[in-house]
Amino acid sequence: MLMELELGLALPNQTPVDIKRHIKQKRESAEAFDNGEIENKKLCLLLWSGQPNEEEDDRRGSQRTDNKRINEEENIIVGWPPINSMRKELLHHHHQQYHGGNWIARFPGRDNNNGARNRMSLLVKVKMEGVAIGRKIDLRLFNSYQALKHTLLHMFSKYLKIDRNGTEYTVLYQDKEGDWLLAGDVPWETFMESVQRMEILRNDS
Amino acid sequence: MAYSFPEEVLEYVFAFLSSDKDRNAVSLVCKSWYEIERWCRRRIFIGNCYAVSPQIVIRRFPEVRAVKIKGKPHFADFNLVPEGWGAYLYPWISAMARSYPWLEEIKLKRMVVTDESLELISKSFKNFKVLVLSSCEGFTTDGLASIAANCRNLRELDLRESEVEDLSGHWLSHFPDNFTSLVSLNMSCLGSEVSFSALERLVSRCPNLKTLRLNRAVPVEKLPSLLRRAPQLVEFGTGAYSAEIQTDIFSNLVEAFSGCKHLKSLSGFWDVVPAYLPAMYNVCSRITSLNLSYATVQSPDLVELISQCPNLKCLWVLDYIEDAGLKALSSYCKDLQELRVFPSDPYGAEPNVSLTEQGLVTVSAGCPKLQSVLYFCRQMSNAALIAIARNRPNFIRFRLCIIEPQAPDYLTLEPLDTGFGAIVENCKELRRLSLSGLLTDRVFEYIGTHAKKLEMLSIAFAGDSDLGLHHVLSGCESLRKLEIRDCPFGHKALLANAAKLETMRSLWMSSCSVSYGACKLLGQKMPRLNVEVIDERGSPNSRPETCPVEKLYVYRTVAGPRVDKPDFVWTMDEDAALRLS
Repeated sequence: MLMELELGLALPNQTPVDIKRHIKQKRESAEAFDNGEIENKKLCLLLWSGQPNEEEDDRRGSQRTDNKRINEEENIIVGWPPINSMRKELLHHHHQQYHGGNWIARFPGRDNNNGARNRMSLLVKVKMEGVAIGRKIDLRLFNSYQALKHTLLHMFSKYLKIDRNGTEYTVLYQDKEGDWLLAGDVPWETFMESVQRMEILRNDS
Repeated sequence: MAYSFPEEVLEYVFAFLSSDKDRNAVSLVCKSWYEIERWCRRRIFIGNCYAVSPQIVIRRFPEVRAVKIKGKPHFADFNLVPEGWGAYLYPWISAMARSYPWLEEIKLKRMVVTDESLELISKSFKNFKVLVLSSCEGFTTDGLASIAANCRNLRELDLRESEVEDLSGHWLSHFPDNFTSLVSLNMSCLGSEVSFSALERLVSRCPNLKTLRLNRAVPVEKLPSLLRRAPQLVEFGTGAYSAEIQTDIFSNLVEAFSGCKHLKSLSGFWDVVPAYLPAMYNVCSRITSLNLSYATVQSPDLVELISQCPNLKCLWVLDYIEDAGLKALSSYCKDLQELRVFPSDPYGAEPNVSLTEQGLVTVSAGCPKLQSVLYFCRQMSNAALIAIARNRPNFIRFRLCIIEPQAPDYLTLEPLDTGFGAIVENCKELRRLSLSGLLTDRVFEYIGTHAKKLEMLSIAFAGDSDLGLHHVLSGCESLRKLEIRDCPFGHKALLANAAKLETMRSLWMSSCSVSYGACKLLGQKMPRLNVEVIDERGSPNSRPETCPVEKLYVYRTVAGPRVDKPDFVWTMDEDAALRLS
């Protein structure tokens, strides 16, 4: 269904005349704002064809069904299902007692290893040498190794004193075949297609 | 004609207005009514602690006796709001300590409360009566000790679901020996054992005690002693409801419960041994509220208990109740108004109990007064939702959580759009809705078209495009709170409906596709909104503007950008806002 909307930033009760005046005032700042994402530079008038977002491109559609190994620690979506911590603690306690303590926080029906169950994010677990707790990171929010490495080091700098240049650290990733590879060797898209989890090692170890 | 009534008369009339809406309307009539009203307003509700500042509140309402403040967004309950985000109580207490010496009540939800705040409360307000800390955190039992020791007129101390650092149970012993005013005590969230003799003496000397919710550490054999000392109790929460089966414990319990002729509400029931449940049967006929959501008991035992409660209005239970138990519920409890069914094994790969959509269909058919539902299950169909909607057009709250994200109608494999569409179309008084399962933009079209009274909407893993969000923002006239996670919504609907955001309390969007650039734009265009980007990856300026932000929290405010932000929160266009003020 094609829907054409002319939408303006305006208060709900304004008349059409008011809206046009409103828009004219805004146009100056609109031109000053150079941002590729808002494709129509008239920021307030959004001619909208009702198509799905352009951001949704094909690479998100790739399914990861071939890796059947289930790693319990990776198959978690934060905050889902929506139960609060008191209840979670109760269930954990119950399962510890009655199910041999092997309570697996695992998502039902999950058959892939990377923890990303929805189309919007690609969550992988990252472990840093010397830090007991791993972190989860959404790789869809990056488009280069540079940005990724920078962010990873920033994340872990809370736990360890890290040389921010990052020259002393190597970032590795485990691919679909289970092999550990150096991050940066293959093109970003290829990396995104096969990364399962990541690890950061100090170079002097 | 305002001048025909002396101020005192108007003030007397206004005293009968309890609703904030009415008082707000009255204060808009004319300047003198505004003045009279603001001097006689005694109760304040602040739905978002950052929407206003303590100074603004105090300046307008100088004679307040009761405040209720809410802090973090709802999704904080599910760990989506990083620690250290905000919602600190201290600035409020510090300001109110100076200006409201006669403050009697403080009720808080999702705020960070420190021991320092609690101590300040206990020392600043001589007539302090009511402290309710719902889903709060940041304090220890030392803070509770201050309250116990210093609040001579305390009536209510309710810690429901708060995260308390439990240093010891000693805090309870700080209530002075001449302290007798307690009406309500809820310590169910605490871990440590309190001195039982101190508890016994406290209960004995407080003749007005109506609510007593114990914590898990109080064993079942100690309950009779407390119940005998407080036969006037209306609401009671047990501790761990288990012990080795001994006949004298059982008979003591039966006798003690029988003495409580006014009990209406029961809760607690951790670690339940089913054999002890019948001890309560004598009181069940009067019970209207039953919280069995921690009771890991199987369906037959649950059914036996529920069958004794024909006046039940509210039931919280685990999915151990199963479809069969819900069928029994629907035949025994015709007065049922609220039902919450929680998952016993939410992370298991396979269902561990036989609870399906059928249970909810049956209850909706059999309980004509049912108006509020929270239901976790593993399968749902459009047919079931349509049946539920037709059975129960009187729903005001409908929250369905199908555990697998994006699970389709299990019979047809279609999205659940028509099912939820039937809910909003039939339930014209619906105020709160939580969606789950496979959903396209179509469901949002239904919601925007029909859900005109909807005030709060929760969306997860749903929709196809900005069109979905646009339907909601443009159609839901009464919308106040919108929380969204993991949906393919970008900036278009948001920017096109920016003005709508000023009519709402707040909007939360996490793991969506709203770019940093769009957030900046929204912040620039809407100076009366705080557009907060929450991102733990470091400054959004270090990434391209097209990069989506991790989390976005937008709320209207008259207080400007907040000054207590942690390093992972950025308020968009703060500079411009400051220039304008």
